[in-house]
Amino acid sequence: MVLSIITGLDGLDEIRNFVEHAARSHGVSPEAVSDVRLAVDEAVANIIMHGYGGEAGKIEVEVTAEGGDLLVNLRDDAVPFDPTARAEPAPGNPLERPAPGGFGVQLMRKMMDEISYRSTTTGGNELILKKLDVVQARR
Amino acid sequence: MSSSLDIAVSQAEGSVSVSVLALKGVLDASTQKELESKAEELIGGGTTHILLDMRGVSYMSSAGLRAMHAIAGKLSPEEASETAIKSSRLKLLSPSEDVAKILKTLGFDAYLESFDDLNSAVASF
Repeated sequence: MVLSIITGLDGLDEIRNFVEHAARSHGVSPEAVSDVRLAVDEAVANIIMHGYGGEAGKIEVEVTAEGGDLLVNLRDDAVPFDPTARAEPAPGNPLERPAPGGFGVQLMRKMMDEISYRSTTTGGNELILKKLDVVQARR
Repeated sequence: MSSSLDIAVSQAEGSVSVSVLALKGVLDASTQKELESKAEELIGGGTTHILLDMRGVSYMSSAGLRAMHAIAGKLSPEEASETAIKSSRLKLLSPSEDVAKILKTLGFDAYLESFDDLNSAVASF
């Protein structure tokens, strides 16, 4: 299933609903659906805020099953940005950090089992989020 | 369709006066600033202690944590220290299971106290 829209942050709800519906259609459990939905929300929010500077831009969300695994491919035309290259924040009180950056990427990493990034041939970005062994085989 | 967040403000009296912000809706990157702005407005007006009533929050992302970080910083710029474990000025009421999971995943649960009932929450300040 693919959703392709031009949107700003006000489109996050539509994207979350799409991912939830697509994941459920593959028999993914409610808990895993919540995890995937959150990870995609974090990724797309970052694309819009950092890639498109807070303005509307093209976001493509593709949800597929690969065996028992759920894959979400996120494609955009924003400036190159690889969230997987960001280092984990140091441990300690998150309230004491001067700038609360990186929470979204941290959550993405915790909610998904694998995350990979590549630049596309058209100069945009593609982020691939994978959650292992959550797709229920159709009877 | 876009996310929305309603914020209803009330005052509760314990040993200190507490501004209770009852949130209803979604706390994500599109509504984060609304919460921060409301808190900033209250703090500018003299509020020193805030309880975020999370009972009506149907969904929260890391944007909610960024808002909490900003609010805690404005309430207690001098509080950050090695000995201050939990914030004494920002607390949470009844976060959902999903919200509690996010707080725990990023370690916020060790620094922001959560309560299951309003009276206990207000009395704790």
